[in-house]
Amino acid sequence: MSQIHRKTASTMAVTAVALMAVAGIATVYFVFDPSESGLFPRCPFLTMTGWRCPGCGSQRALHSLLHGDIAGAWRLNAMLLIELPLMVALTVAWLLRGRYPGFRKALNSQTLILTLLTLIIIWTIARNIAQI
Amino acid sequence: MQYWIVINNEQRGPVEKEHLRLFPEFGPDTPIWRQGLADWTTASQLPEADEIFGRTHEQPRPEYGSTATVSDPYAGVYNKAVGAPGTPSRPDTRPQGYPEMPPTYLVWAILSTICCCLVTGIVAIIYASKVAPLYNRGDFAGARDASSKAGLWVIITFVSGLIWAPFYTLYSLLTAL
Repeated sequence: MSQIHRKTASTMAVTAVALMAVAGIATVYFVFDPSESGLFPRCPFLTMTGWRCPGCGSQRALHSLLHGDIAGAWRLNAMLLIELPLMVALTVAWLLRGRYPGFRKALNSQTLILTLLTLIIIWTIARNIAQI
Repeated sequence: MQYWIVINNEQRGPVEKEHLRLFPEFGPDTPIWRQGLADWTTASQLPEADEIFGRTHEQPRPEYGSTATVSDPYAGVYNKAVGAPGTPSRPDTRPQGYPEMPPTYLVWAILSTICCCLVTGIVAIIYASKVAPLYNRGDFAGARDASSKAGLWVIITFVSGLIWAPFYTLYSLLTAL
């Protein structure tokens, strides 16, 4: 029994630290606008190659999203609006894996991951052709 | 003692020792796992193989396929291993019981691609995609290997990012002047 309690306590500690980190990052991206502030690094991939990576625009999109501007975020990085909910779902599924192992398995299935990979590749090519 | 076996690429279990023979496809080469084994093996390699196949020294050995004509003889003797309602999750007994699917680190792999590390992120995603099919096939060692490789590529992404960051900052400052 004590082993279970220790496990729960360490999971709670990790969760608390992770939540604080997420809250901290969200605060920074809420307060500062990456398109105006010099605090935020420009994508090295874009700087070096001139091509947009799948994540380009994520910082500005996050700023828009935190201000409730979903359409603006979509224009800056549409892929992020697919990936963010997926990452939240994956994290929840991992935390609740003891109770809902099927949910976790469904989200980590080969079909889902390979679909995501295809989407990321298509998105990267398309955004460089269409300049989005 | 309960056993898990792989038949037609599908994992079955837990199955009681006496019920293993009721599977028409069950034979000496069937992948099998039970508590106390570090990894999967084949049925003929188990110390208790004779017992499983119903061999005794007094009686002649029956043919493996001899029970195959019985229609669905194993109905109801096993639960499907994963996600079945009859299989409660018992985290307290996990270390000696049925291994949990290893992590895919997919969240971190996605973050790698967002943080502009396209190539390493994609490698991590490809390894992440291999975890579930290997696990479902009963290849626990293979699933663990794919999982740790996905994790390794995530670590490579973030470590190289950390090494790269000061140089990039310097470069940005120099070009801005």
